[in-house]
Amino acid sequence: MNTLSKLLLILLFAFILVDSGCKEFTKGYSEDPNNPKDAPGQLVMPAAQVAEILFLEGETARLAGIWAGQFTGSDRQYVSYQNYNVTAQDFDNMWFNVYPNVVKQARIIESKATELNNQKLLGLAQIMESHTMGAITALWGDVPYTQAANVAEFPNPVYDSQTDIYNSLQQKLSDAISNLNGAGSLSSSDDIFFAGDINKWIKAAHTLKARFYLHTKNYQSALSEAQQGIDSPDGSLIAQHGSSYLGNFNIYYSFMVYDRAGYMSANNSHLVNMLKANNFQRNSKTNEEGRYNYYFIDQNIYNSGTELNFFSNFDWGTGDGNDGKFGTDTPFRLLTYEENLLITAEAQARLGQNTEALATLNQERQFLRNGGFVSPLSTNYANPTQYGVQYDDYSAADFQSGGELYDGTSEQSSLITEIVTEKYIALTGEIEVFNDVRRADNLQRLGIQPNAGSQIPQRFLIPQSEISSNTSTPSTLPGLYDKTPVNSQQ
Amino acid sequence: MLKKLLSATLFTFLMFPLFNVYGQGVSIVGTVTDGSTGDPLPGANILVQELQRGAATNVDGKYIISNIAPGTYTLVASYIGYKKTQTSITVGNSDVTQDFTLQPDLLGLEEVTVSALGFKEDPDKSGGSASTVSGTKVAESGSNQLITGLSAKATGLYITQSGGDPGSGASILIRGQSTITGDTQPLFVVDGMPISNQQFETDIQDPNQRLQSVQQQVRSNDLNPDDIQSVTVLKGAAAAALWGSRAANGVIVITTKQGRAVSGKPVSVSFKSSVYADDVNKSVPLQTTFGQGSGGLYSQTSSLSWGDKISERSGGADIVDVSTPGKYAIGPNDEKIGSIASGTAGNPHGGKNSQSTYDHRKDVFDTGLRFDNSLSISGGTEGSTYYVNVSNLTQDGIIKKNSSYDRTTLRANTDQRLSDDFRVTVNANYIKMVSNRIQQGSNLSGIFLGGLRTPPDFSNGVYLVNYVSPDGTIIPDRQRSYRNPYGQNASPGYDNPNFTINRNTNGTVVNRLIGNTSLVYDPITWLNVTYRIGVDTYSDRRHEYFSQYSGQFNNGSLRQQTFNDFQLNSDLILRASRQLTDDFAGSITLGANINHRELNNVGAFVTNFILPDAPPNLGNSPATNRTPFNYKQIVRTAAVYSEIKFDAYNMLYLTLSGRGETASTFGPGASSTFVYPSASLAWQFTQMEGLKNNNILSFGKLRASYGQVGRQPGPYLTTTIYTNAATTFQDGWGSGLDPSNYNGGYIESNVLGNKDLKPERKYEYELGADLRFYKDRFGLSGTYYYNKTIDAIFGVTTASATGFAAKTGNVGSIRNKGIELSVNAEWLRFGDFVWTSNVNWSRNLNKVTSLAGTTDIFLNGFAGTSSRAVQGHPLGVLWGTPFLRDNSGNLVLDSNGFPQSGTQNTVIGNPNPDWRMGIGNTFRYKGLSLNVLVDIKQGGDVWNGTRGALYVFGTHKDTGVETVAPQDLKNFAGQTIPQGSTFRGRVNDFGGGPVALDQSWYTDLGGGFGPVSEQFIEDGGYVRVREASLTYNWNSKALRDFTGLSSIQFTLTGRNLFLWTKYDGIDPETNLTGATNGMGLDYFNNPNTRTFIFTLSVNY
Repeated sequence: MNTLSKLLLILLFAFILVDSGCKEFTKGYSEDPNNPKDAPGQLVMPAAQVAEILFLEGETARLAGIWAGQFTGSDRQYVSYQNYNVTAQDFDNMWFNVYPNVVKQARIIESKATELNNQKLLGLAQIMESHTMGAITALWGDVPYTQAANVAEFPNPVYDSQTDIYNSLQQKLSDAISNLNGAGSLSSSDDIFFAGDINKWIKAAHTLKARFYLHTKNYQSALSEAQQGIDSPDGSLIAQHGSSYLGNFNIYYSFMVYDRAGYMSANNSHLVNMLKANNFQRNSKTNEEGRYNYYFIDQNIYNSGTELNFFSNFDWGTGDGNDGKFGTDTPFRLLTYEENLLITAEAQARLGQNTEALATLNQERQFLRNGGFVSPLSTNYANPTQYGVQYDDYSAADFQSGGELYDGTSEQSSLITEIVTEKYIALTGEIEVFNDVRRADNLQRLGIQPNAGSQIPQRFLIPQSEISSNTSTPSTLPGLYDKTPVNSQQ
Repeated sequence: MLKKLLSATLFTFLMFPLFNVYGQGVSIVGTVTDGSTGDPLPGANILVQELQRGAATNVDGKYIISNIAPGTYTLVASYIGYKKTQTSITVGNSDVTQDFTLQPDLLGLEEVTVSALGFKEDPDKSGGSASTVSGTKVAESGSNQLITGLSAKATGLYITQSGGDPGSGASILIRGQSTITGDTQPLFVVDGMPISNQQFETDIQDPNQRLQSVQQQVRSNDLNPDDIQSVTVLKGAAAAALWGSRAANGVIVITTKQGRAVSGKPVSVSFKSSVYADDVNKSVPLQTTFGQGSGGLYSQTSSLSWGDKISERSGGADIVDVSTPGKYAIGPNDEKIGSIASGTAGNPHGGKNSQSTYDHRKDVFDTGLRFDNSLSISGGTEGSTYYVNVSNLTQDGIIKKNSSYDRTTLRANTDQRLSDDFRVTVNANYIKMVSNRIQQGSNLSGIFLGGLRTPPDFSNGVYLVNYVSPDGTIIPDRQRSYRNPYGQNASPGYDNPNFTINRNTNGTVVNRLIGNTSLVYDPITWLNVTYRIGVDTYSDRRHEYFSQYSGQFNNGSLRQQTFNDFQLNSDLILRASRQLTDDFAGSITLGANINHRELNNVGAFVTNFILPDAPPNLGNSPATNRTPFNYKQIVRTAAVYSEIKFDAYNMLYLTLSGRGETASTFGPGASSTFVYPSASLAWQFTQMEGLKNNNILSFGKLRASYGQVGRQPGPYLTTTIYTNAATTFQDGWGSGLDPSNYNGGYIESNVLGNKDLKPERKYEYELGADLRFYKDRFGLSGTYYYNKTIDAIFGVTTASATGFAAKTGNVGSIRNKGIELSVNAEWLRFGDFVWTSNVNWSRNLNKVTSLAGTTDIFLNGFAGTSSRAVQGHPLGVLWGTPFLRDNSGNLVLDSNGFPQSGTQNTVIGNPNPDWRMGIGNTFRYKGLSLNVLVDIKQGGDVWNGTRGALYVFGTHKDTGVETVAPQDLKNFAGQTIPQGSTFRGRVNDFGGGPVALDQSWYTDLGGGFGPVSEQFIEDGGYVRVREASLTYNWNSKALRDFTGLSSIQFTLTGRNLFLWTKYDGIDPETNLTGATNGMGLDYFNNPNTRTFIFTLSVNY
């Protein structure tokens, strides 16, 4: 074998290796063998619902609660939150969780459901989208909506006006209701809230419509929607919880006991002081001892003063029936029968239908008397032999001049004040409380004093991630004390 | 595809009719002797440079090179540890005799370096900078681990051992950290084959969560240091550029030992046996003056040690309730252990009378023992050499139980010259490693966490009791700990360290095979073809078991998992070299490389054992408490590369190289091939006329180089996935939900895949000089380097309204610059007495230059104190809350004169050292040598979280003092301590007059659970005697004649013998988070060790 042929052979070999080898060698290995690139809408729905719970029950609700005077920021960053010292960065996580994990998923499900003509699933996704977008726009005002969650087409989604968003949501919810009556099917595993029960969802959609009409102070429409809304406690939209940490723990509990013990308490909060006054006897027909103890504990666990009641049989061995409102596996309420009642009552009262409003308010008090305010794990707090639980029916005279609840102006106004107060207590821990506080004249009616300065925050701030990365973010950012458009309107 | 390639390769080679027949000619013969003793040197190499052929000397130091055609040749004689000698020789028609006398190379100036491709290189001709450490030096270090064996031995290496546990890993940073969140560890290449140096944490998908668990190993530990011929560290980008996107952290090139053909002696046997004794080299200072309790009152269940003064107790036995059910337990020897009454204002001691105290630093430690035995058999005949080694290291750690490391290695290397132009090399290495580890760190089962918090008056001796419950029933085997003194609670609080070491186990078993084959073909004199293929595969089978009644998992937990790692690497390399004219020579290398890496992890995690005492079994758990998991990744890289060398006038050496590469982790939108060029130039200016043969400056070289290297993106970042991972559903404060607890489901991830992802890229240039004086008795070497990493990969925040919260991008940049100096000197030679020194000094300045608008990125650590990348600061700075200061930097004090907590987190420390220095001195007298290596680290902060926590608990020594108030003093709670009264604590003046630091201070703002972490940043600098060894090498003629052995060597070594540091805790060479990007964290880390070693080597 001569030198030349040896060389040729080597070069040939090298050519084979380099050419056929390298070019193809890395192909086909860039795809993740561990995770899927797609999933059917029926499987996106339950996971997105979990993300929705996290948004509605997590830090958004805690901050809303602190600013609504229900809770107290007591350590580290939460001290700043208590004093309204917040920056845009503090709101990043809220949007990280809601736009990508809920709004985007709702849109994905809608598109998949439309493709497969599963109108029921489409309706469900539309309700989810409306529910969370309503919460977002109520807290932030003008936000990305029409162009949101579509990075391919809109890398810089524009900010839609809050009024337009509310109008779109009403339309979307109406569509959802008709879609739920349309073709397609839902199996119980597609839906962690109602296991695919269409009738419950239709009522929930009406209650959402009522809620949003209330936000925009369209009391007539709010009333008519609420009258088609959730009409029994078992129609309430409730997040179930369990005893698996980072699995299904109540988020409040996880935060206060496992993750950031001591950061948040209820020490000296407006709600605590209001309930405790006169030894829980809020008026001669109302004793809040049971409800107060269900909500709060006057023990020094991580803080001095008053803690949120996070006792549970699971971790604290407090015995059956004694779990607090924020216990390990206590369910969390997202959209309820009682809210629907109180929207009805307020709308009626605002429209001057005093008799109807009083009757609706008494329906709520009957619900409380029957122990409707506790979860099944917390029945002892509703047991009159253990705590003061008194919610006698009010009479019209109570709200009239000379009545115990007469506020010095009118029966109508007195009724509104009591309805708003009851809603403030009943919806404790929910974002909706902060929405109510900022609406109309409710702040004065409730008598909430700012934690710092002379006013309470009127909105959440546009997150830093938007300011940094979305060129459509308004150049003049609304301030913490600027009312959202719907709240600025009379 | 791969299979096809392999078969094509084999086929091609098998078809080659390669084997030539030896021809005829004259021979060159001669003898090689040792210049210091005059004894013949067996095994020395003689090479005919022009022919690249040679021979080795036989037992009598004689060599013969036959079949030489007439002509003039350069003959080079070399032997490890001796200075190379060359001479010119003219061969005529008859045999020629040429003898050599080789002088010992005591300074190691002539260590052969090994290039990125695994070929030997003459460092004097290199324009890049590489440090070489001989295998002997690594083996002599007294460390059984490769990385720590390199400590203080070369410039530019920043080595930090994770801790002192057996087999514990170590981090090696070459010229600082050049990535933000990517892997920081260099590429390890053994005999041309890259091997794994992974450090897998318990949760493979969460590599930065290393705050707890055990000290994990790094897989380079699997190599037996005795097998190593040399370690070359390629520091600069130019030297490493041929490894392209895997070379950003530098490359560590390891060459293993090969047999030597010594005619007349086909078999050499060497047996080495060492005994090691380890103990804790430094621990945390504790107080033993005050007992368990709070506010000066004894309390048996208090978590604190702010109780009564022990010396004021009455002495004698405690008053213990051992009769009321619910108040006592029965110990292992049927003794009764029960409740003791708490102290009161009238009697601060309560029922506690005993004055006994216990040193909790020693609860679970004793002397660790290691036995290391290594047997090598090597040798060969001309054309065929072999090396076989079997070794076993058995180590019982300083922790009394379940802390061990047992490594058995088997290596066989062989080199067969099948014909004049064809050679086959096979290297195979099998490793079996079995180790048990103990929990450390921020972990209820960490031995120091529970141990050092234990009050000095509580004995941790009994850790299991049979609790007598209030109704009289006996609950067996409850854990007893200081917060659970008679097992009254199922949950013990922190684990008793004796419980941890006896009941909670962590095993790992590694079976590993590393092997490669080289086919080397020299078809024509100036051309060499090398084909090299190798695999590195191992399985790491682990379990992590927490017993019932452990603090972490009350009802027990078990994680059982297996990691399977596989790597295949293939290189085809063509090398051509020619002497072009008398003054010019050149060479060209062309190569193609493919690399396949595959990782599988499968396992399950279960809690709540059904039968608590059953052997570890995943099935021993309710179905609802089982979490199975698996993960798989494959990364493939393909590249072609080329290197061109050009030598001119024997003084200018230019090297150009380039690598074009593609990998499966690059985004499809990015360019598919990336090119990494490099260039280096060396100028031996002492070869110029006029400087030649200078008596003072015997050698001088200036060098300059420039290169680019890269870092591959992590796998699977280029596409957007659907996920059901619980981590996706978290709210930023640690709280979260898992969809699998709600029927399950998948959502589109909130991390946007980036199809344009490309490798990080590091540019580096360096300038240096190597000078030698007085016939090479004194060497000086200096390097300045500057490098910049751009396109650093990390997750950047996106506008979430787009539907995504983050996107992985090429966005950050960092730069490093530094100086490396080394001095080698033979100070004194007086008869048989020689004193030599090796000194190295390195300084690296690192700065994060861009983080794409983000101010800081969390690398590792805790919410309160973390190691971060902060724009404008060195990478890894410690981040936390400082005291509140005004604009001029003065503390803002409260009305009582105490400082307050700042409101913003900021940079509070820098864990990067100012500089590092290694000073090695060797004294030799005949067969006796003394070697002392001092290691200095100047600066480099460590967060002493241990001290912070122990302040709160009142067990730290600083909290054990009493002070008489020199005046009325306020304490932190605002109470007044009247003048003249004695209080527990100390007086301090923060600037507003003296105040009392007592329990109210230490348990609040002055303690580790308060917000201010600034006060626990300490200088982690040190000076230590890293190694000291005394060796006697007995190779007298009498020994050799009488026993037939060639030598016997006795060595006494101390490692980490002395340590001087200001650090108030364990040895500051520690890092809770191991070889990760986070640095400088100490939170109840397990301590480091000091080691004494006796070694006996017998060589036949």
